[in-house]
Amino acid sequence: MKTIVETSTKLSKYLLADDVAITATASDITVGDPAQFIIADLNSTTVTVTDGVTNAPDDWTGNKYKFDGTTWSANPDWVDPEADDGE
Amino acid sequence: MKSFGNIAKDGQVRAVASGALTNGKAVIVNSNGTVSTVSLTARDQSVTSETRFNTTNTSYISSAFDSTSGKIVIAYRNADNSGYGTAVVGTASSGGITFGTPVFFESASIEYTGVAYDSSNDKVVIVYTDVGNSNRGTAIVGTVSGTSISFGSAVEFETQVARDCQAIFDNVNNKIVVAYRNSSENNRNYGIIGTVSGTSISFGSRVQYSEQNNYVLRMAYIGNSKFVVSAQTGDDTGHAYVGTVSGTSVSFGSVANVNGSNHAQNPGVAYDSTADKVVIGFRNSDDTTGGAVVGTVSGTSISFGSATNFGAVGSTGDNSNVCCVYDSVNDKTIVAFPDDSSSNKGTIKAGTVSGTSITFGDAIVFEQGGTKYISGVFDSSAERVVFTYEDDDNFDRGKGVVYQSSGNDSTLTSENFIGFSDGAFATTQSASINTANTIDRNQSGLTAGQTYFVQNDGTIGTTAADPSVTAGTAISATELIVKG
Repeated sequence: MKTIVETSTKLSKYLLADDVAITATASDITVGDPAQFIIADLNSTTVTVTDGVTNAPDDWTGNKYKFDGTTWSANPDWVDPEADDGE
Repeated sequence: MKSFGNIAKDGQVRAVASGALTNGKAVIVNSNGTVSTVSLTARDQSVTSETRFNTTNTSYISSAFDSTSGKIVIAYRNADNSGYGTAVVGTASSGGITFGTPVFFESASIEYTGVAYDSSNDKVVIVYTDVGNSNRGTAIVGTVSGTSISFGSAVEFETQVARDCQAIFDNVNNKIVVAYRNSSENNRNYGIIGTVSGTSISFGSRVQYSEQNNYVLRMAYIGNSKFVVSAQTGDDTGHAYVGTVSGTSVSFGSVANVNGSNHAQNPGVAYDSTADKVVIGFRNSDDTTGGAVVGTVSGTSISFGSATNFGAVGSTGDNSNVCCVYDSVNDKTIVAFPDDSSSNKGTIKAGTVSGTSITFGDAIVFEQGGTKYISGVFDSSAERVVFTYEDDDNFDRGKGVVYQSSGNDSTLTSENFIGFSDGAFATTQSASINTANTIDRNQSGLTAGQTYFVQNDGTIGTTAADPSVTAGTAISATELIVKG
C-alpha cells in the first residue's frame, strides 16, 4: 500500500494500492492513470507520499491515524462522523 | 417533378409544398427538398438513462448550473473515500449527462452540501459542514475549466456546528447568500452573506431568523435581492421565510406556515419567474402524500394557497425527498421525489402554476431503484433539467439524468429558413417563395428600419428566438427585404 500524509499534521489522508499512480504538482494531486480522482486541497508541497506500507491499521479511514513514515498512531482529535448526525 | 426550379420572379424560387403554405409566412426547406411553413409540433416529456458519477456510498448531493461554461457542478459526500468532500463537473445534452474526473475539495469528512454559481465572478461556491473540523460551517470557491474544477482555500463562516448548509446567488448585489442550521444553538437557523474575491470568499455577520429546531433548509432566489428559505420543524411543520440582501447583510421577514396546520416534511422550493410565484413541494408525514403549494411574496412576507396532491412520497431518510426546479423555457415547475407507492422509485411530475394553485401532469420514472438526496438544476444551455441523486437500491451510487418537459418543438433550425411564401398554396402545389434579397410584400405591422427574426412558431419579431434566424429588414409596414 501507499499513503498520502499531510506533512504538517502527519494525518494519513489517503491509503492506496501500490499500483495506483500518484502525480503530485504544486497545485494538486492526481491519483490514478487515467485519473481516478484529483485532490484539490493538497499538493506536492504539503504532502509526503510513502510507498510500500505494510502495517496500515485494518480500520483505516482518512484522518483517523497519523503516520510518521514508519509508525501509525491514533489521531487524538478523531471524531467518528457516523456517530452524530445532528438530528 | 423537381422540388426546386422554374423561377417565377427575380429572387423567387418555386418549390413543391409539403403541407399548406400561408401567404407571407416563413418557409423552410425539408430534407427531401420540399418546403413547409415553420411550425410547432407537440413534444411529450422525456428523461434520459442514468449516468453514474460515483460508484458507491454517495450522499449530501447538491448542484448548481454554471451558466458561463454551460456545466453543472455537483458536490457530495464520498463515503467510500472517508466521507471526503467531492465535486464533479457534468455536461448535459439531449442524450444524457457525462461527468469529468471527481475532485476532492476537502480531504476530510463533510456533510450537508450546498452549491451556488456566482455569475458576476464566474465562480462556484460550495458550502458544507466540515465534519473533520468540528462540524464548522465552511465555504470554498471553485473555478470550472472544461470538465474539471479547481479550488481556492476553504473559509469558515460558522465556528460552531453548522448543518443543512445551503447557498444561492443574489445577482443584484452580486453576493452569495448562505442559510444554515446551528446545532450548537438548538438548531436555530442563520443567514450570512458571502463576497467572492478571486478564489476566496469573505463573510459578513450572521443573522438569526428562526427559533430552535428548523431542519432541511432549501433556498430559491426570487429576484430584486430577495429569496425564500423553506424548512421543517422538529414536528414536521413546514416553514418559509423571505430574506432580503442589503450590502453584506441580510434581513428576514416573519415565519409563514407552508401547509397550514398540516405537516410539510422535507420541503423543496423553486421560483416560477414567469408567474412570479414560489412553489414549495413537500411530504405530508400524516399520510405520506406529496403536496405542493404556491406562495406569493409581498414585501417581506409570503402567503400560500391550498396544497395540491401530486402523489405519494416515500420516507427515505433525511434530506431531499422532494426536489423542485423551475424550467423557464417550458414554464413548468418540475418536482422529483421517491414514489412511496412504487418502491420509492425516482419519479418526476411537471406542474403548471395558475394563480395561487398548481396542477400536475403525468408521472415519469427516472430511476427504478429507491432514490435519496435528489438535487436538481435547470440547465439553460441544454434547456433541460438535470437531476442528481443517490440510488438507494444500488450501492448508494451517485447518478444523474436529464429531463425535458413536455412542450413544443419548432421545425425551424439555424440553417433551413429560405424565405416567405408569396401566396397561399396547397400541399404538393408548386409554391413561390420570396428568398434572400427579394422584397416580401405580404407582411403587416412592421416598423421600417427594424431587423426582424423568424420565431419558432413561424411568425416574425424583433427579438431573436433560439435558434437565431434573421428574417430580414423592414422597409415599410408591409415590406421586408428577405435575408437568411
